[in-house]
Amino acid sequence: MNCQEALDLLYEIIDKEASEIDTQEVKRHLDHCQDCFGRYQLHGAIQSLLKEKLKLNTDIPAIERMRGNILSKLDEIDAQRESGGSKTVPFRFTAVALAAAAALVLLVGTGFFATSLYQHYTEYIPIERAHWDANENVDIFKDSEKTASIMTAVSRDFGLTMSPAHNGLKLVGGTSREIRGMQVSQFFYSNGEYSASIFVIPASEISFSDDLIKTKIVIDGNCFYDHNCRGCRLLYTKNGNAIIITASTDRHYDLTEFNPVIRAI
Amino acid sequence: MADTVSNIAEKRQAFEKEALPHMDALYRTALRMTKNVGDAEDLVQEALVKAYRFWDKFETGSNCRAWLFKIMTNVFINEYRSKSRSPMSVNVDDIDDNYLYGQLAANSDGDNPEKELFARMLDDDVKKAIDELPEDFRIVVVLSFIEGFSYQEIAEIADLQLGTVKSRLHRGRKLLQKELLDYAIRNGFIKGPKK
Repeated sequence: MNCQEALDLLYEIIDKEASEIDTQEVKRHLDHCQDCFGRYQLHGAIQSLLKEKLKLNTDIPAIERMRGNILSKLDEIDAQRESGGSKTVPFRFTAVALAAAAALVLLVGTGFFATSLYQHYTEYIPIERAHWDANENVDIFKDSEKTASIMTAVSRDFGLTMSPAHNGLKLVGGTSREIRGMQVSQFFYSNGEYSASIFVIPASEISFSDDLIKTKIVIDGNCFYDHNCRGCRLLYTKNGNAIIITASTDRHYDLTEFNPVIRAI
Repeated sequence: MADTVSNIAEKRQAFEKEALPHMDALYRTALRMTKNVGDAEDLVQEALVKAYRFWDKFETGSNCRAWLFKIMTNVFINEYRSKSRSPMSVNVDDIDDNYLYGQLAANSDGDNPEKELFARMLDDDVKKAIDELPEDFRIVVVLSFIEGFSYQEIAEIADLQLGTVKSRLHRGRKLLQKELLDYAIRNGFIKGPKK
């Protein structure tokens, strides 16, 4: 291979698009050609520096803003789909659609459907979002001073402490957030693949809805309320004067086995 | 006909798990495509909401990231491009392939000319150089440099022939190198060509 042939392949090599044979040939050429080696080195360095300089900066407020807007648009689409609100209903389905709409009106009439939807968006979704947010912005949990101060507050207010690791997940850290006007302490656990959040909320701030009470399950004498609908899984349990909510990103991860909350002596 | 509630919930969960994590990357590229924060945010939101509407068409197991970029690039080309399109009047053919190398080798004293060139260049300077590329080149350069898509993936995302991807990328690179070098000389990071 001569210099011209080697340089013709420069960008394909840098972009890892060249064939294995060409790559080997170029390597052999560069071993004994200082000039071509210099050019390859320069362009390789430029490529990686460009990538580095362009990759930095995640504008977290912008991401949060977009996420909020997108999720509420998705909520609208879901609600539309749920009510069969498609504008292009084929004629032969009209009767069925009308029947469905009538059934819907009945449900709304009894207040059941409207209430459960309302609760879904106001009570459960904000908690679930806080957990998704934690997944995307793990760094905010890595502040050890902040974590220590949240730990101290939770211990003082509720007599609770968080174990550093539980059921395969490790404590990344804690933070405090305002969710629907409540001050909520959040602890984030992860093993790199799965993650879970523990939310600690004063019991006085939350009243369980009838729907949530219906989901009661008892495991080893502990009472859990398992909110699991519309892709959102949250496990509620009462511990003294605190409500603990556990959220996980993985629907198959058994939340009932994840309970790192310890009552301090 | 109404979808069942559990069906909707499953779709929603899959979408949030598979598509939404790509929002950072989409935004990063949207910023370079639109060259302004407001349009970039609108573009990402529009693209993701559109992706959700068409989520049924996405084949599980295929490349979700490339699929999302294809949707976003499509929205950009159809809806944003006309607003900011600059006329294509750049002639890159007179820029030699090794322009940068020649200039650096001639005007630098050190062993590592690229280090001198980039040491003091800020992230914003590099972004500005990318922003100055003509749009057709910029889209391809961004998808390759920032997102690391292969030529074939870029061809599918931007709906171009493979050969067009290669030539735009090549020409985009030449222009970018020239811009970066001119910038470095203007700011006295390296010496200018001897006259």
